[in-house]
Amino acid sequence: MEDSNMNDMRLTERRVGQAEAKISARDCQVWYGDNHAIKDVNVDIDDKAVTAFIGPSGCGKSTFLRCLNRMNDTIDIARVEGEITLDGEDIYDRRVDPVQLRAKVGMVFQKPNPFPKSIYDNVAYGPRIHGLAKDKAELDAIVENSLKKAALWKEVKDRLTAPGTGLSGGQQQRLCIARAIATSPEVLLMDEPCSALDPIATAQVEELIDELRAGFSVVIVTHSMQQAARVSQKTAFFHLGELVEFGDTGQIFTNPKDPRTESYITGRIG
Amino acid sequence: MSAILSGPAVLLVALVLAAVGFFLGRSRAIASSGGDQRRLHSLPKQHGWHVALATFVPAVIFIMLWTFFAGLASNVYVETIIPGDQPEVRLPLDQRGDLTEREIEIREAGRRDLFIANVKTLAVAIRGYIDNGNATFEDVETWRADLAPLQERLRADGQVVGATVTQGMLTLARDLIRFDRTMGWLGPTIALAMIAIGFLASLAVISRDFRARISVERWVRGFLVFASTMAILTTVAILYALTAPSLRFFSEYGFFNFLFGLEWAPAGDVVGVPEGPDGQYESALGFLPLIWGTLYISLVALLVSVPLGLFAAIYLSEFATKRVRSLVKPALEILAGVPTIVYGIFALVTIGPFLQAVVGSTIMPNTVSVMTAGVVMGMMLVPFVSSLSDDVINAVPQAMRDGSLGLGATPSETVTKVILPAALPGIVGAIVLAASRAIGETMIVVLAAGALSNVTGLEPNPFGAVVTVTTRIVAVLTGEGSGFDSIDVLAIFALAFTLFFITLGLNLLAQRIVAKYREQYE
Ligand SMILES: Nc1ncnc2c1ncn2[C@@H]1O[C@H](COP(=O)(O)OP(=O)(O)O)[C@@H](O)[C@H]1O
Ligand SMILES: [Mg+2]
Repeated sequence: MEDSNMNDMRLTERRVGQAEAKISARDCQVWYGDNHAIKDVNVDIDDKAVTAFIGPSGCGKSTFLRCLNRMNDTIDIARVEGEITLDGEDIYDRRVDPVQLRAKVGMVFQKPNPFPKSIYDNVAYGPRIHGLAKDKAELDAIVENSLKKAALWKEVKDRLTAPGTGLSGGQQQRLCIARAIATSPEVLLMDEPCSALDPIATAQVEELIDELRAGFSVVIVTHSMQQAARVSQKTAFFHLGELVEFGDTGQIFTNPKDPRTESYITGRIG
Repeated sequence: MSAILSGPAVLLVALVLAAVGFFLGRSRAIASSGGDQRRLHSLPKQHGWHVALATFVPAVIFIMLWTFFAGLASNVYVETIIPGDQPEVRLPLDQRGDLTEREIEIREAGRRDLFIANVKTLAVAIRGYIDNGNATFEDVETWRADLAPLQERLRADGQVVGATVTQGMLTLARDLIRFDRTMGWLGPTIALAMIAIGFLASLAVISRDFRARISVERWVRGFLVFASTMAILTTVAILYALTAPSLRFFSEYGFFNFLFGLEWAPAGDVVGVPEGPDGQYESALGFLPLIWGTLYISLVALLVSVPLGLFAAIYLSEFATKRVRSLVKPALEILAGVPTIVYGIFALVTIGPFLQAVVGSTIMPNTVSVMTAGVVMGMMLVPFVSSLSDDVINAVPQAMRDGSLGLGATPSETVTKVILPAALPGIVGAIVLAASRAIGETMIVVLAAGALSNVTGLEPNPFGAVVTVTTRIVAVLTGEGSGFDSIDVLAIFALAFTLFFITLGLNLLAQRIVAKYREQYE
């Protein structure tokens, strides 16, 4: 029953999104030591769309998200198996440099984590490391552009040399988004980007995410189902390390196929 | 009888009665509840503690304070009992020559200090003699300085007797012993009374409604306040001990002569009696050569320890696997626990000869030198710097590392561009603390920098021997022939005083830097 469900889902996915699938995961497994945190996850993430990962806490959303830019490599005891491709290329291939991958697949974290540097230096950090700008003028342009895309430019353009840590929580999170955008990634991973923000800042960041869809493939982990419903086109529901259901956001929320999804959405799994 | 009237015995009595009081208090509380414990305001156990603490704490605090102040009082007492015309203090006529009033006054002040010291020494010697069972105090009352060979008798018993014993000295020493004996039984007697009162009174107040819980809280808080006050008092006592002699030295020798003097060559002058031409002291007691040597060695030590310690810390916290970390960290901590004298020996027998073999004996005439001491002190400080830096680096939130790695930075880019800048204030604090340790370090420099060398000025050669603040303190205080009436000894207090403030200043600075750094992440 569950198996056929999964197969159905994969088939529909293939039909709808094969051409523009940005990232695909096949039989992805993650272990932390002996803890099997992600089991047999198969998913296709579209380009120019927002995909939401929802599920009860501890179900492996962050873990799976971190597989997509190989951030799990930085954890000693984590072990990843299976195949994950970005534009058809296996990102866990020996020849792939995780450092370059992370420039292409940017990440925004749960708590805003600006570096204790100026706003300008925060945004310029990635471009400088990767040598993306020929000269100061080009770097200025990248910084300005990124801040504009992150809807922060107007608020900070007069104090680019002020420390990034001095901004408000919502501004800090948008600064982190600008910082991630500055390396011109193709995919943006966001792990509960609004959970440390107040409702107004949350609304601003959600609006921003919707705008970012035009230029990037966005994956967002959220514990708020309303948020998933508001910002995403596709939703994946995780439970106990398994991907239970994946489909159009509208369908998942109005007509879930799996009873577990339904329980979660109606508040019976927490 | 007198055995029970001593500090340790009082402590023992207090402990025993406190233990007894605990059980008595508990059972009394249970009894007062009429068999139903729930009717008590506080637990029976708390009633027990209430009695135990009331018995123990006041008496113990009292006896500690008493011991401290009895010592002070004894010192003050000697000063007051010496008559103004004490013959040993007067300057003999044949020595007065053509000295001025002022000069005579200064000399007599010196003689007075010396005389007081002699009286105290004699009192200690006689007390030791009595304690060894050779005489009773009543025997001593009949002693006369000129009759029996007093000195020889005391010395034969292993007691230290400095100067020739005069009758005046003996009389005063006896007075002093009598005074100390009185203080000796008075304190413990009062303490025993306090124990008894505390014990009985606290037992008496126990009733069903007595709030023992609150009383215990109060006793505990009081005891903790006392303990921390003692720690602060120690610092105050150190300052007190250093200030008066230092000020005396400054006024005798001249503050600026000391602070900016370019030569350190003590000659054993008597305080207040400058014997050189033009009323100058023959001793040259300039601070600059000493602080020069101290800072020179500290600089070398920091040049060795800061890079090594910092890199070790970075490696351990950012790159090493768990296994390596679990091996290396304890190893570094063991290194930090090696006594400095061991480092000193290592410097003397290994590093010194090695350096000399490398640079040649024309540049490095002795195995002791700035480099010898500095390099070894640097090694000593490596674990200190690395463990402090490790703490500050670990205090940089993991989110900073994730942020940087998530942008595609390599681990070493993350270290140099994010972690080190973020941890910099803390690291600077660690370096300042290391500098403060280097400046106060004694054993290594005594062995490896040339404690016995005859350097008197500023030595520029890093392979030459130098004098430092701490080595000169050791040399003067352990050297022969410098009595306590010597200006050189007074100068040592000034050195200790200055050292105290330099290290205090550095530690305060480091604390402020580190506190600022903490704020950043809170
Ligand atoms: N760094 C880690 N080391 C060990 N176990 C981890 C680590 N991170 C997560 N886990 C474990 O993996 C499982 C999934 O965690 P996570 O991906 O953080 O869940 P979610 O983000 O959905 O709340 C949990 O059981 C958690 O304990
Ligand atoms: Mg998570």
